[in-house]
Amino acid sequence: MYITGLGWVTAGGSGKGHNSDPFDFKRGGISDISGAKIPTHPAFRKGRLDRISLLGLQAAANALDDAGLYEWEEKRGTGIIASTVYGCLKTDLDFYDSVNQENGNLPEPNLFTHTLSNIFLGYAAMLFGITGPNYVLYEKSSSSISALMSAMESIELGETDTMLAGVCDIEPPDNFDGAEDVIPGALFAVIEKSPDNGKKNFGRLSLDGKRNILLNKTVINDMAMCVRECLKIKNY
Amino acid sequence: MVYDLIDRVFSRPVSMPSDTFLVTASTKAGIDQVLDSYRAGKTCSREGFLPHISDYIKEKLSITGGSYHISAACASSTAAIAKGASLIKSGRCDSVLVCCFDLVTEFVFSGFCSLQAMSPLPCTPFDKNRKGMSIGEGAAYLLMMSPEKAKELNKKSMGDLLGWAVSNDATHITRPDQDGKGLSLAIEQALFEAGLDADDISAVCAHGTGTFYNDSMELASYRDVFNNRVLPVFSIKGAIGHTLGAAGGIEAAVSLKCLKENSVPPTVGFKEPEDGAEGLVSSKVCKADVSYILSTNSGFTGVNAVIILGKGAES
Repeated sequence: MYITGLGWVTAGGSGKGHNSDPFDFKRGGISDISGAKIPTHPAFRKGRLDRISLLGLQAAANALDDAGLYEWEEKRGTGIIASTVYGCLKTDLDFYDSVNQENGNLPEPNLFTHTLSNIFLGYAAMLFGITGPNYVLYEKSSSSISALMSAMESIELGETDTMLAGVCDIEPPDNFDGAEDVIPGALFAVIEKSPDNGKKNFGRLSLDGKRNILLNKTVINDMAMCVRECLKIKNY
Repeated sequence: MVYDLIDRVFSRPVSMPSDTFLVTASTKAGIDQVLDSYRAGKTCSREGFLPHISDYIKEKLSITGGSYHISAACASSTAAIAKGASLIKSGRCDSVLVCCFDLVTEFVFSGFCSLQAMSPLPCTPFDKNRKGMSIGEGAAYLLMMSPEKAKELNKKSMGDLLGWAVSNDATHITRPDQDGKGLSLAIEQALFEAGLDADDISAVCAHGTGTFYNDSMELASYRDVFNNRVLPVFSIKGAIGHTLGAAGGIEAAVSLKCLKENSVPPTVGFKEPEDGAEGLVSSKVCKADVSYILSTNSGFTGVNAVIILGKGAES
């Protein structure tokens, strides 16, 4: 299987692998993402999306575009798995604040629907017509490799031929234990089992006997390293 | 608190290999714990998050294998079971513990009320006059092993996990595809994995939340996949409520019991069938030869997850 597309949004900026955009997974705030370049859909308004959904969608859109899979006509069996540390916690807090109102109003229903950490995967499924395996994996620290591993397992077992895998976290809320473990940003890779001949890719992904992830012959320890290695070794 | 629930579910000793891989599943895990500290203005603890709860489980059970912490809305635990099966099939490990849990919290209860999704009375899945869902809480664990490992440890199988799949409707965030095509896709993939035909399935442990859209979507899917065949379809949510991320794990345990007892439980609260539920759903226990059972869950974001279980040595 091969990595055929990369997309990211970090404090260092937004980018795509084949564009050779500069990649910097650094600490700091991510600039305004309300203008994220994602397709429109009749079933929702972009303005109602929470920050983590916008962030994840922008990075996923970049990765699909980078792999030449942005446009679609018929739904496809592509899956999407994302690792996260805090998930939608910021939205949870916003919703909880609306629950605590003492004016007798019902809490905000639109916020509640966004208190699922996998919500942006649902939006990605709608926007890009992807119907394959889809879930979030919680992790203790940023840049986890677990989504990549899980996606590779799905492809290995024939559950699907194409997966989006990555990480997604917004800035942790104030006063949260372990916030120092989180670098905000979203990074996604498109993995294809058998890309068409001649399709540009960033190298072959495999698992060794100890279940280490190898990109060509390099052991990949985290998602940011995966992106950096891909950018070094483009196979054109 | 979620840790109390974990203590209860593991209140009886359970033995497993020390390198057992743990897959936990939940929608909101220990959100009450996180928010209590938030409300008190303290530094908020991450103890309510899945990886930390998983550490607690691993320590409690003295297991040291790897772990995944899955969140996929109301399909979380079925997706976790599917992941566990994949891990074993791929040879990455030969023993997987799936543990799922969710609580009724002010947070969740308020949320579903705000969506006006709650039934004023206990929910009545697949009933023509159903008025919404009832929230429940619970936890379950399922210990899964390769046949070779189970034989080595002289563990008798309560059931064989034959097929599994996770799909997405890709149509709407909160409303399922009314044609049931996303669920049908997952069922067809699981049947393929199991090497079975739709005609082989004896009964369906449905998601059956009691909401208008979910139940009608499921019935559309079952009509499609089973080609209008009449087979027992039941939901346990009329009895225990919707346990959210724990639902699939609890329902898998009930499904194993169905295989063992050759019967399916009643759908509590069901009186008048929704269009398409005639002959499928019953308020009574149904005795039947249950050889293969399909268990399904669907959730917000359009996610669907299904498993197919067959009889094990114990049944």
